[in-house]
Amino acid sequence: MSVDAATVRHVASLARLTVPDERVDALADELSDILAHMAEISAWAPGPPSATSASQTTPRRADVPTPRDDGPALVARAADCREGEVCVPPVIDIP
Amino acid sequence: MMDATALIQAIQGRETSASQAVTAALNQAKATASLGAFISLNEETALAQASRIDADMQRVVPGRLAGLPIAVKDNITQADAPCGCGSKMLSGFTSPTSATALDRLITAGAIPIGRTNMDEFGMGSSGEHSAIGPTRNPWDPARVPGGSSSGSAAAVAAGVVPVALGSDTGGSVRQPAAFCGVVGLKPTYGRVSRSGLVAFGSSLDQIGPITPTVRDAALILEVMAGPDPLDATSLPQAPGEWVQACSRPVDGLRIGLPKQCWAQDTDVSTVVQAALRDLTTRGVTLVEVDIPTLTMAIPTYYLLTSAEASSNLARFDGIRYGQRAIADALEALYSQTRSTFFGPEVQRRILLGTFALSAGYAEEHYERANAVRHQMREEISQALTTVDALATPTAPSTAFALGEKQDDPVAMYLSDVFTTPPSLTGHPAISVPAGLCSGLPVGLQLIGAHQDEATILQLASAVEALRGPLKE
Repeated sequence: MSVDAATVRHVASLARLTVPDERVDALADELSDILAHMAEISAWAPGPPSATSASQTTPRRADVPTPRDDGPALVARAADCREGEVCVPPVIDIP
Repeated sequence: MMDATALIQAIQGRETSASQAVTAALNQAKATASLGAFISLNEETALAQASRIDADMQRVVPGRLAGLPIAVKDNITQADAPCGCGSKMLSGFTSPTSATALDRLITAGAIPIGRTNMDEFGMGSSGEHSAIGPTRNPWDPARVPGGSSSGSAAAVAAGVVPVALGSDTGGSVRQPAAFCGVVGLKPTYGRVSRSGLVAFGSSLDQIGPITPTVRDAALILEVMAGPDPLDATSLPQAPGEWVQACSRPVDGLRIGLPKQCWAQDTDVSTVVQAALRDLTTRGVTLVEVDIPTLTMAIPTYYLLTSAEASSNLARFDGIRYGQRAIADALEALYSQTRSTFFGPEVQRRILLGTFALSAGYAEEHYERANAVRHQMREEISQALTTVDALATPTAPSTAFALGEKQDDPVAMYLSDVFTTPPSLTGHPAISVPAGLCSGLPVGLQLIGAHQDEATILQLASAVEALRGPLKE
């Protein structure tokens, strides 16, 4: 499978990355090369499940919320914060 | 440098002190600064902690690791210390809390002396993908130390500390340990809490120790393992008696050699085979086993981890942590921040992972890779019902030259061919030095049954005893 320039631009936009125009073709080639090595997976058909699979499930604890008291410390580590709040630029330009 | 077990005994026997041990570690870190193993040193806090431990030693029973200097990979949080993950994205970030695994070591008396260099967010097999600069191999500074826990392996190999914490998603503890001639242990998935480990591939990530001896790795695992309410995937079982396991005789044990990993005779495989032959003189039996899906480990690993990474790293958007690019609107801020502060390898994997999860491709790539992973887990578990452990070389080559594979991502990915399977399947695995090849260390990897760290530690100790210290 090969990736073209339009796909790179689409995926970059999904990933919130800016890819400069001069890098698009090179990235398309790199991703195509990587995906060529992954072709074996697309062609693979699973075998019958074995008897050991049931015992391999990772046990998990109940997912219950726990109180935290480090909110202010976490907010203080944001890229920009004022008066205990995280600051962000405007989402919509207001004239 | 003494190993951890000997140093702890020396401190408890008052032959040396925690302050002397920490001072020696800091001096050696500075003397070997050209290796690039450390991003920062916690000089003041480490010496203060050592003084407290020395003072307490007169009054109270010392902790199990009292006075032991350790180094910590830069993606494992430590309260009030920088945590940058080898990335420009998190430069300047200081963690408010410590990872559970590190917290347990500190409670037992270990003293973190510094933050070790790493491939950015754990993505790399050479130690070259760090925004801080590359790490060099103490055996030959013109060569890579392996990655992504490059600084941790180099710090132990250079005699700075007898214990360094690394994280292993596809071999990031074992492969650099092999390249640097030290021991690296990846525990069973869930054995050590991931709380406080900055996520790369959450369903594979494990914290593991890098040490000069197998016994030291067992000791550190005993202290940091065990259930943790802060990690939903941590196993409920209490730590085992792994130090004791290192002294058990190995006669009667059976080791499986997956034929997919031994298809080619190389200089590296010759060294590893010699170490395995040594084990047979102690009553170990070697048998060939067949694990067909191993041939698909690399594509499966890179598809799944890139998919998980693209999701995990979405949080680094310029809003909540670290750096922020200048932009006057929110969408532009996201993309400019991520493009400016993520390095090229991280961006490549985010793109690959986003592609693998995107509409129209997820079934062919992500879901199929997940199915391979399940099959591989069944095949390895099945093989481990007929043998006690599996053995492979840790890496297909010795440490390669700096820059040799940097422009060829696929060649770089292939260095993980033997370490990725137990990461995908959650089985425990250890790399132990097997010998030298053209003057460079070679690692033997042992893979154990789920939650059976004891047997691989037992076998690795026997390899260590039979092969002796690595000598040029």
